Amino acid sequence: MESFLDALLTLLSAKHLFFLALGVFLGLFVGLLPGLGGLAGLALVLPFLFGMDPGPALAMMIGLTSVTSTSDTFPAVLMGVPGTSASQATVMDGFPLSKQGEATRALSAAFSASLVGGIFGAIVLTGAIFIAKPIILAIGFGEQLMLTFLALTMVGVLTGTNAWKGLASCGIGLLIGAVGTTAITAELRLGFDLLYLTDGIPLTAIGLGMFAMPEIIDLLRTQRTISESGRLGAGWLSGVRDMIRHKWLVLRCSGIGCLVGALPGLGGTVVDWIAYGHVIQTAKDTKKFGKGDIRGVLAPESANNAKEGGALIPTLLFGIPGSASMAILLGGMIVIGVEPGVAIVKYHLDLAYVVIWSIAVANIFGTSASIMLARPIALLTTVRYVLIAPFMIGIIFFAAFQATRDWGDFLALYSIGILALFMKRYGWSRPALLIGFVLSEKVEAGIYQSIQAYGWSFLERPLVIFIFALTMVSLYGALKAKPIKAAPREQPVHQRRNLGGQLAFLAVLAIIPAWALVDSAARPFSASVFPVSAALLTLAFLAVVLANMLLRKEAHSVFFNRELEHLDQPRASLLKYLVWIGAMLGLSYLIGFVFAVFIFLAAFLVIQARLSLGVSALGGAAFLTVLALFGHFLVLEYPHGLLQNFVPMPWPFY
Amino acid sequence: MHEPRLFDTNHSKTERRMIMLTRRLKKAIALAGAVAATAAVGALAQAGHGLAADFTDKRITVIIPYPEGGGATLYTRFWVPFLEKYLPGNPTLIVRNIPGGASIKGLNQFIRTSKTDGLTIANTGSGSYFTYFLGQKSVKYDFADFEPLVASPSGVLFYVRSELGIKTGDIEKLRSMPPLRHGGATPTGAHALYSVLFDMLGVKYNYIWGLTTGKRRQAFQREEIDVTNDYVLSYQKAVKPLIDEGIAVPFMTLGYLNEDGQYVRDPMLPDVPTFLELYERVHGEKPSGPPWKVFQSLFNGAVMNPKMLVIPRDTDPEIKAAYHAAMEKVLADPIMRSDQGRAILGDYEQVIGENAMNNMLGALERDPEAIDWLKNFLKEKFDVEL
Repeated sequence: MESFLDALLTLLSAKHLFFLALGVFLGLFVGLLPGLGGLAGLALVLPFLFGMDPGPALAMMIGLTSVTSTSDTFPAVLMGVPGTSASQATVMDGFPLSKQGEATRALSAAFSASLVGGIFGAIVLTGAIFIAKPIILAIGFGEQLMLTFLALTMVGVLTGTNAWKGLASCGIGLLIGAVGTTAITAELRLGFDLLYLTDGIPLTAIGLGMFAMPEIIDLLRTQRTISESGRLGAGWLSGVRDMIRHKWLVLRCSGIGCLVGALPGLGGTVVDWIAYGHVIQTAKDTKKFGKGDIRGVLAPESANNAKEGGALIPTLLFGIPGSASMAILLGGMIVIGVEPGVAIVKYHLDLAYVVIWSIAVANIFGTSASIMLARPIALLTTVRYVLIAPFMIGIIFFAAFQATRDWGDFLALYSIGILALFMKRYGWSRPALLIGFVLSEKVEAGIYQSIQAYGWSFLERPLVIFIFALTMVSLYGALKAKPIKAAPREQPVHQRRNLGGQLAFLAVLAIIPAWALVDSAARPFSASVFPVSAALLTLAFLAVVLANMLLRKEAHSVFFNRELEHLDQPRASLLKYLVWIGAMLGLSYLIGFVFAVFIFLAAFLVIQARLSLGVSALGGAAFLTVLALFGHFLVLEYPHGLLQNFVPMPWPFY
Repeated sequence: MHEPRLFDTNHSKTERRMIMLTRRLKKAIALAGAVAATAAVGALAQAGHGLAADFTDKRITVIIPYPEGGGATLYTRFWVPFLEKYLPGNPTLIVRNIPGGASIKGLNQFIRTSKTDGLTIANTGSGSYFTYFLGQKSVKYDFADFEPLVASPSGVLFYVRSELGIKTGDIEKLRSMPPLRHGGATPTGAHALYSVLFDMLGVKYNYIWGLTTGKRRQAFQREEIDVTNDYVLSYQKAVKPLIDEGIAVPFMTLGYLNEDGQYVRDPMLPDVPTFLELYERVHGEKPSGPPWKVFQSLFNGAVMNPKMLVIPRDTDPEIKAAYHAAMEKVLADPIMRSDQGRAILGDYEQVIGENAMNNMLGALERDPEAIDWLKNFLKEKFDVEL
C-alpha cells in the first residue's frame, strides 16, 4: 500500500508529470487524426527512449496510449469518421446526435464515459496484476474460439431492418476478411495474385470506406451543415449528466472493455462493437439506436478506454502484447531496461504502480482537455458542409494511406467506399460486414487451432461450455431485441418501387461469394474449407433475400431504398462526387498526392462552394502546410505520382 | 532489365554455372571498378574538390519491411540515432515500416526506389532470406544486390514443457515420445527449416500454424503446445522466467558458426547442446545429403544474418565507404556495451564491412538440389505449393 502511494508521489514530481503531459498531448493529437493511433504515436517516441529513465519514459508511453481512444471521438462524433478503429461504433449514434445539433452533448458524454472507463481500467489493473494470471492462462484455443462466436452474436442486433440482409452482409465481411495469405498453407487466397493483398485488406480502409466515405458524400448531397438545424444545442454539462444518469451502463461497459482487452483472442478492434451490441441487447427501448441515442455513445466510449488498462494485464504479466501498440510498448519497456513478465510484479512493483497511476492521471488530463475543447470544435457542425467536405476527403485518403503506405490503400478505400454507399442506400448492414471482417481470421484460426491441439474434445472443456452458454444467452438477447417492427408500409424507404437498382446491387454482392468458390476450387482442403463454407452460407442468405424481393408484392423490410425518403428535397447526383474523388486519385497518380490534393481542394472550393479563386487557393495551401508539418514531425510520407519519377522534388513533394 | 536470379529452377546446370561465372566475373569487374573509383575519388578529394560523401541536410529513408510493433523495428530504430550521429553531415533518418508478405513488399520497394545516392537503406530479417531462398514468385529482389552495413547474429533455442520429463539434450527420450505439438507462424518461414531438423532427429511432431511468437509463448504456458523456440536474444526476457518457474526446459540450440567455419555451441547458452551434437549422438555420424544442405544453406539466414541493415550494392563507392566508416564508429560507441545495447544485440559480435559481405555472399551460393528437396518436403508434409 505504501509503495502504491509512493508511486503516486513519484509520478507527481515535475519530471514525471512533464513527460506524462507530453505523452498525453501526443496521444490526443494522434487519436484526433483519423488513420493514426497509439501505434503511430508510440512508434514516434520509441527512438527518444534510448537513454531515458524508466519512470518518465513509462509515464510518457502510458500517457500516450491511454488517451488516443478519448480524442478519437472528435472526428467520430462530429464528422462520422472514426478517429481510430476503437471508435467505429461511436459513429453509429454519435454522428446522428451531431446532425441533431447535439454535438457538444454527445462529445462531453463520450469524454466523461471515457474517463470512467479509463479509471476503471486502472483499478482493475491494480488488482489484476496479482490474481489475473490463472484466468488468462485458462483461455486456450477453444475458449478463444467461443469468445469469437460470442462476439459474432453481436451481429444479431446490428443487422439493420432486415435480418437476412444483415446476415448476408456479415458473410461478405467474413469473405473479405479471408483475403490474404493463409497461415496454414502460406498461399495467397482470393487475392488476384496481387502483392498488395498478401496481408489482406487493411482495417483502416474498411473502417473509413464503410463509415466515412458514404457519410461525406451523402451529406454533400443533401445538407448544408452537419447540424440539420445549423445550430448547436445543449452545452457540455448535459453530456456529463447523461453519463451520470446511465452510470451503471457505463460501469458495465467498462467491465466489458477491460475483459475484452485482457483476454487473448478478441483484441481491441471489436471492443466498441461488443459494448454497442450489449447496450442494444439490454436496453428496454431500442427505437432510437442508430438515430442518436446517447447510450450508443456512452457504451463504446467507456469500453474502449477501459480496454487499455485491460490490455496492459497480459502485457505486464506475461510480456505478451495483446495488440500492435502493446507490442511497441513492450519494445519500449525493454529499451528502458524493464523486463515485463512476472518479474515486474516481483521486483519492479513500483514501476507497475507508476503505470497504473499514469493511466489514471493521463485520463484525467486527457478528458479535461477534451471537454474544454468540445464546444469550440463542435462549432464545426454549424459550418457549411461543402467547405468541410473536401478537407475530410483529403484527410480520409491521407489516413487510409497510413495503413500500409501503398497505392493500393487508395484504391481499397475508394472501392470499399463505393460498396458502402450502395449498402447504405439499399439497407445492407455495414456494422455487420465490419464485424464479419474483423472476426473472420479469428473464426478460421480458432477452429483450426482448437482441433489441431485437442481434436473435438475441446468442446468438453468447462470454460468452453460456459462461454458457449453465454453465447446462447446473447443470441437469445439478440433475437428478443429484434428492432422496431414499425410497419414497413408507413415508411417510404420500404416501398416496393424502383427495384432495378436493388436487384442489380444484390447481383453485385453475389459476385463476392461466387468468386470465393471459384478461387477455392483448386486449393487444398485446409485453405478452402473456411471460404467455401462462408461463401455457401452467404449465397444462401442472398437467395432468401432475392426470393423475398421477387415474391413480395407489397412494401416489406426486405425492400429498402434511401432515395425514396424526402423525395421533395433536391439532391445532387451521387456520381458527381464519386467523379470528384476519382479525379483526385487520378491526379495523385500523375503528380503525387500532395499536389493533387491541393488542386482538388482549390477546384472543389471554387466550383462547388463558389468561393473566390484566392480564398480557395489559400484553403488548399493551408491543408498543404498542415500535411507538410505532419509529414515533418510525425515522419510521414505521401504517395508519389509519375511526376516524381521524372522530376526530383524537394521534400515533402518528392 | 533484371538479371536472372541465382536459383531460377528453369535453368539447366550448365546455364546455372554460366550465370554463376558471369556473376563472379561481374563482381570482379565491379570490385575493380569500385577500387578504381575509390582511388579516383580519393585523388580528387585530396585535390580539394570535396567530393567526399556529405549528408548535411539530407533525409535518409530506412525501410523496415515488417510492422511497427516488432523486433525488426526495435532493432532498426536502435541503430538510427547512431547512424545520424556518425554519418558525415549528420543526416536525418526517417523510418518507414512497409510490412507485407513476410517482408517481400518492403524489400521489393527498396530495390525499386533506391538510387545510387545512399539515401535509402533497409532492414532485412530471416523471413526475407527464407522467401528468397524458396524462390517465391513475388520476390523481386536479389540478395546479391544488397550490401550489408551490419549483420547481427542471434541463435535459436528450442525448449520443451517440463512435465514431459525430458532433460536438456535428452534426444533419445524425445524420439520416443508421441507426436509433440509445435507451433509456428507459417510453414514457409524459419519453421520450414525447423521441421526438417526435427525430422532429421527422428522426433515426431504436429505443427499448429498461425501462431506468431507472442501467441506461441502464451500457448506454451497454457500447455497447448509441447515444444517451441525463441531467439536466444529473447532468452532473458521470455524463456528464463519460464525455466525459473519450472515449466520449461531448454532442449537444444541451432548452434553458432565460429570464425573457423565450425558449428559450435551458442556463445550465449554454452550449456545447451546444439542440433548437430544431438544428430551425431543419434546417428553416430555427421549428417549428409539434401537435408544437411538445407541446414547449411539456411543456417546463415537463421542464425548468422537474421537481422541486417543493407544498402544497395550499386551505391556510389564513396557513399558506401562513408556508411561503412560510420558503422565502425557506431560499434566503438559506449552504447554497444551498455545494457540497452545488450538488450537489443545480446553478446554476439556484430559483423560489419567486408566480413558481413562475405558471410552474406557465402550464404547465397547454395545447392539448387537442396531447394528442390525442401520444396518437395514442404509439399508432402504441409501441402504447401511453392
